[in-house]
Amino acid sequence: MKSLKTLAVLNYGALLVLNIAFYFVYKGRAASHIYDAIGIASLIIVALTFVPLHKRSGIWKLTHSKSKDLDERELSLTHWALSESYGWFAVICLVIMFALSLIGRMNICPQYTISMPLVASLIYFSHTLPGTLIAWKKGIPEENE
Amino acid sequence: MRTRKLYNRIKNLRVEKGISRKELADHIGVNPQTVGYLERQDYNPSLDLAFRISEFFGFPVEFIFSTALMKPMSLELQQKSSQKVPGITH
Repeated sequence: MKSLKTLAVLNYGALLVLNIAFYFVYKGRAASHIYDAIGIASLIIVALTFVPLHKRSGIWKLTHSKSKDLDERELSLTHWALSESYGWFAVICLVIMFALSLIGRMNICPQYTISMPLVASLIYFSHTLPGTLIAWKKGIPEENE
Repeated sequence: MRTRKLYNRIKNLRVEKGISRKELADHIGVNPQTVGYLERQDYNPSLDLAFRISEFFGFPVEFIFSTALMKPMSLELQQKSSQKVPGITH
């Protein structure tokens, strides 16, 4: 469970770095090739941590299967994860909107910009958040038999 | 919803029957991981699942599940047989 938590932190941490790096690329700042490299490296970290965190642990299957393929415990766990993630996702979106409005007020950029990496990250985030909540709060036990 | 902890004998019965978690899971229609949760008493099954488990093992539901901590099966059987002794008529 501890390793899943570490993977979750790495995964979302890299996602955040990716967005910050690509934001600077988008804004056409100097030394954009450095930001490009940081962004691509973060994307690789996101992909590398996604596999053990969501695929190999079986969490992705749990949150993305049809309800008829899940048993009663899995259904209740998925229901809990989805309802929790709705709340968290709304909070994160509000934080992003607040951050963008602050950036706008501080004249860092002339208008609110929602870049393509941000949209892609939010889609990824919305799909992985229920599974990450399961990994974080409930854990996936290792079955030794 | 707060629920009471349910104790059960699923692990003992499964080991006694000599079957794996996967085999039990296939018979009662759940994921093998759920059998693990049931055996560790981390999950309370629905009434339907409890009946499926009791039908599979051939024991009444109250023998497999309890709201109180369960005694070892050998002790319970010993107590039952000692209770029956005075009443036995040959």
